[in-house]
Amino acid sequence: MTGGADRRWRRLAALSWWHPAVTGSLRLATAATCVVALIHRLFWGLSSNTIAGENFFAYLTIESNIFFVVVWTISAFDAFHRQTDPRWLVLLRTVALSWTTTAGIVFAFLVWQAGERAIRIDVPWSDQLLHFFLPAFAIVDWAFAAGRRPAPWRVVPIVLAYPLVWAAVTMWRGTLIGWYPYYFLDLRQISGPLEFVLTGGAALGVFAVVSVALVLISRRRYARRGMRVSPSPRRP
Amino acid sequence: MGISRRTFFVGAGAGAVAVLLAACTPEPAPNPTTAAPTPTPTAPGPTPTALPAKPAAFVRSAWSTDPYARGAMSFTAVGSSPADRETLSEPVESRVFFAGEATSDRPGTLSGAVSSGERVAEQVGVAAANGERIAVIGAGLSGAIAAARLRQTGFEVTVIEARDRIGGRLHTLDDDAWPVPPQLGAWLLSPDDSEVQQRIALHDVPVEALDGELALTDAGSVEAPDAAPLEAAIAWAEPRPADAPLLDALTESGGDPDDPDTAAFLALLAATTGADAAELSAWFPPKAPDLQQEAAVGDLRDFVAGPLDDIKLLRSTTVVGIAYDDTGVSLRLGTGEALSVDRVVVTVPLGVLKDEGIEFEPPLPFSHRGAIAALGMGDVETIWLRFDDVWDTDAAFWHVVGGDAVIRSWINLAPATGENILVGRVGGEAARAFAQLSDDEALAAALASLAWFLPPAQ
Repeated sequence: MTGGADRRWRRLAALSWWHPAVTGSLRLATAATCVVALIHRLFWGLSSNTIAGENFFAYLTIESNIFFVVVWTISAFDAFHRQTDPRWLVLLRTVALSWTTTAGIVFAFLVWQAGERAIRIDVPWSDQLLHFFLPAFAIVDWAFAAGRRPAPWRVVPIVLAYPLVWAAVTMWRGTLIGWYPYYFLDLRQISGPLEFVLTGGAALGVFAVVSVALVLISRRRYARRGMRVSPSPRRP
Repeated sequence: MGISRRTFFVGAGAGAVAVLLAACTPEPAPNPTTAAPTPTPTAPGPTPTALPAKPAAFVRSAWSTDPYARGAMSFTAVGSSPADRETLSEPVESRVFFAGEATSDRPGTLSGAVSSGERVAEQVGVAAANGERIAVIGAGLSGAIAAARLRQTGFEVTVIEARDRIGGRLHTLDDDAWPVPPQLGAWLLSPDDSEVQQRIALHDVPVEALDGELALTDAGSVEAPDAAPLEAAIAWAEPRPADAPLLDALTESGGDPDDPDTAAFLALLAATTGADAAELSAWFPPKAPDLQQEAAVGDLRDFVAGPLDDIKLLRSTTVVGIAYDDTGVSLRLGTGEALSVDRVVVTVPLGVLKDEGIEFEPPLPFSHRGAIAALGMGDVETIWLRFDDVWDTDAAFWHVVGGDAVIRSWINLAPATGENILVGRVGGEAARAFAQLSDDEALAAALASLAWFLPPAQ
């Protein structure tokens, strides 16, 4: 990174560094928006009678966004009260953000694929928030807000473990109720074991790439020094 | 209202003639008024109130641009035959079943949709074991009928609908601005639709008879053109070694498609079948347009909602893929989800199948693909106009003969309902062009089509 670019990053980051209350408030707002979107999505699914209604809590997106709400709310209060996030919170934030971001990327790919066939997919605004806008905003937070320690590399296996467990449960449940949130988990939709391994591997690959990218972002040279400015005057 | 009155006189032959209407060239072309057909001399008659320049309300359909319809109704295209519809109604590996108007012997009708739904339910009943999970794609009339039958038989039925409403190509608008709810899809019944009429009566939907014709040129009313040139064309084609487009048969048999009389008939044919004469089979021509019809003038939604009562229905859920083998079927949804069932009934419009809106894995057999490719999907668009004023004519079917009107076929609901509502119908290439217009352009085109009903400039 050149000095000039470094300065630009710092200037951007300073937008939230100047007062931790800004960071905390934005995180609370993000979490609140996520709650509103989750509730809308629940009622949209129930009212439109889509399959989304009765399987609301079985979606990876919904599960990971609920986790995201919890983690982001904690990190909001953390921003109000602490200069640097504790290690366990950094770990949780990386994991939550990896899951929601990956769910968004995979969803965007699937909807784009359907659009290629000129099929119009009705995506409610809450789905767009949960899949696209909230993860994007949270990544900006991750990249620029101060007070974040470098994320540990061990988040990557943790991030990968959840979708594996989730997929196993979902495939078992699918044999009972006939519903699969991602088509490739239904073995009839794919040509055979090879395609299953390739598609599943690709999905896992996205999880891995996203989590690695988030860790790398947190380990940028200039990002390591970030400490929130204390709201109290005792800090120079 | 300060609207001046002008004389109309229904020609002596109007109403006695089977079918008629007038169109000129299908493409809009400058059309000098002198090119209008020679009007039959008419006697002075009662003076109707001229139509105002602006209707109090208007709505219109857009089936040709609707991704879940991709047309209004199927037609037997040149080179295809009713056998293609029978082929399409054959199950594939006892797993994938087809229904809908395109698979019936009464394409483009409510009766065809109903009978196909009953037929497919019987087919599934023969193939499936009790309690099996059956998906029905499409909550239109045929899907609803099929689902209700299957449910009665004891299957676990799920109906999947891409739109957020049910009804498919049966679409009653719910709008307080309209004393008669506009019907953007199927709503007309012929005398041979008696079974559907009885079903509709069960839902308390009022049905009114439409009767009488009025054919207008720029110079007054004329006799409604008759079907003779088309009948001659069909007779000419019948002994030929190969099928021919109806338009070619018409020309070869001495007819003139540019003749205002003949063009009028062709425009009505397009408005009722969705196809232009160049696309239609001369061997298997459509039934002559019926102008002794009944119209459903109430809310038809219960007609579909009734059978679907208590059946699991997923709305706003688009099926984009169907994977099947000898043990079951998996439906791939637009959101990337998958639904596993034992068998599936596909009732999507033929236009969706033709455009490969649903990908089949493995691909459908050649026989089915051949039938889907051979049959045609026609386009019909409808525009409803409500006026504040009345006009004095008892004719329900209005025809615009000659000139460059976009919409040549109109239904006047005033005699049947007492409400001043005109329903314009346009078919074929003209319908596709009409669907591309903005609302303002469409309204202007509709009113311009009614110009001869307007008072002459003072």
